[in-house]
Amino acid sequence: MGFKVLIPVFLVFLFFTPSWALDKKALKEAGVQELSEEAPDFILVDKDGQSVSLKGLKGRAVLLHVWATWCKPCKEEFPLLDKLYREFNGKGLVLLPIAIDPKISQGEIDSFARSLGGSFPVYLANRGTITDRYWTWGVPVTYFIDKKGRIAGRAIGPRDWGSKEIKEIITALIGEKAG
Amino acid sequence: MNKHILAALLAIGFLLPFSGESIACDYCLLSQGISPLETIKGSGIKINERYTRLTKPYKGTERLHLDAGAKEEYWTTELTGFYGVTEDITVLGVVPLRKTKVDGHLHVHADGTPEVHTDVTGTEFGLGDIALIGRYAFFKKHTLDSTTTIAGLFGVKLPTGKTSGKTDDGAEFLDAHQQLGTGSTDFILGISANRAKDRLTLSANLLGTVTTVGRAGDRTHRFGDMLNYDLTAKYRVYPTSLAQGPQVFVALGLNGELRQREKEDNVEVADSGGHTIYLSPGIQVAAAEHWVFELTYQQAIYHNLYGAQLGEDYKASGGVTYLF
Repeated sequence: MGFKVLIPVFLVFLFFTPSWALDKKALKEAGVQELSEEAPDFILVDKDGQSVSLKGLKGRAVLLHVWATWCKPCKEEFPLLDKLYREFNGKGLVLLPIAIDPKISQGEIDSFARSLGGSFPVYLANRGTITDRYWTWGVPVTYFIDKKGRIAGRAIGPRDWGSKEIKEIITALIGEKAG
Repeated sequence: MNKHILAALLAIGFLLPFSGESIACDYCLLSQGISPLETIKGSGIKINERYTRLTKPYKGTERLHLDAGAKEEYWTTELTGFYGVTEDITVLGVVPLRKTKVDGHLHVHADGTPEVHTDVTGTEFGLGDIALIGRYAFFKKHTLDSTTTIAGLFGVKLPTGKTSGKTDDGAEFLDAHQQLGTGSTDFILGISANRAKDRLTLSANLLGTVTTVGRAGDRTHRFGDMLNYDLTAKYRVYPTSLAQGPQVFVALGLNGELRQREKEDNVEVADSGGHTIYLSPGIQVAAAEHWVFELTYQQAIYHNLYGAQLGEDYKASGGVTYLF
């Protein structure tokens, strides 16, 4: 009798409890807000004209970084963001830096990113279908998206991308099971 | 979280029965901004200039029409420094520099008849009462395009303002509320809720002040305990979608002050305390990376003053904030 009651309780628990979530303390120490919602899907176009969709990246951890060429703190954090990219690129992290400038070409944004020390591919919001809900209040803003396509955290404003706290979050993000 | 909310609500509930009005109160309006009670988070410095005018006498909710007029004016330059100790804890200090000008005095005779003594004038200028506040955000919920925060406020207002100002002829002390300070150490407790979704931000704030006995002129004086509240909506009108350049917000708020009667030498002052409600439109411009400018106008739309008193006509203020 008791066992029969426990099974549905266990199933409900299993269904409603996230199988994985970023450590609250680590998020707080890194100044990252905790979120838990499905990341709205979008399609971006890379410099070769190839489409990249968020949905297609399921199973990989994504660092979605929204920035603009006119944003001074965005430019200042490029060198550290590049270091982070080099460290985690081969380890399962996808970095998606998206510039929201409305009137700029792919060639121009590539050159601009390179001049700031960014060796990673950059994307333009105006060449894709990404919603401006991702940058409601300002740039830079960075989303930590887990392997299931859920937003686990958000950093509003610039961050020290070389910090121990940020690296811990990313290590956890790429280490989780895709489910 | 529920435990924290319950504690904060109980604290506010405790203060409500002690609340009672409406004089030119500096420390009760903390940020003096678009949403007057909302304390700022992060770190920065703000300078604000406010003008308050009282000319219309009231008895309860009834406007009195007397033969002669009286006028009280207050100019307050306020320097507020705020520092984010952690993501959740902010401390702030408010230093006001005040000028008060009295032109005529509303005197209430023993039989309750009000009369304006036009020969009473006075001007005071100097440091007001410094307030120190702590803010703790105990609840935060974020989604892609919304964020909800609830914070508790705790503070103290120190008796740093002079309370011995006299009329121009030197014959009498000015009324307690016309002095630069209250002469008392008062305690501040409040709760602040904020919800931003897309371009709209809603703020609701409650702030209670528990007063103690101070000295005004040659008597002991205690201002009534006070409750301030505000409900404000702020909307980003430009740009519609984030872009380079300034951001412009318009705001509309409803805010009020409730105050208990004052006590002079431990005797209740019949013509003190009450309730005033304001309608407050405002505009805020985030002009450059670190700078925020704002203008607010608070029109008094409702008075219910105990006994006969001068009621506030309006407050107008402008401020500049530099965010570090």
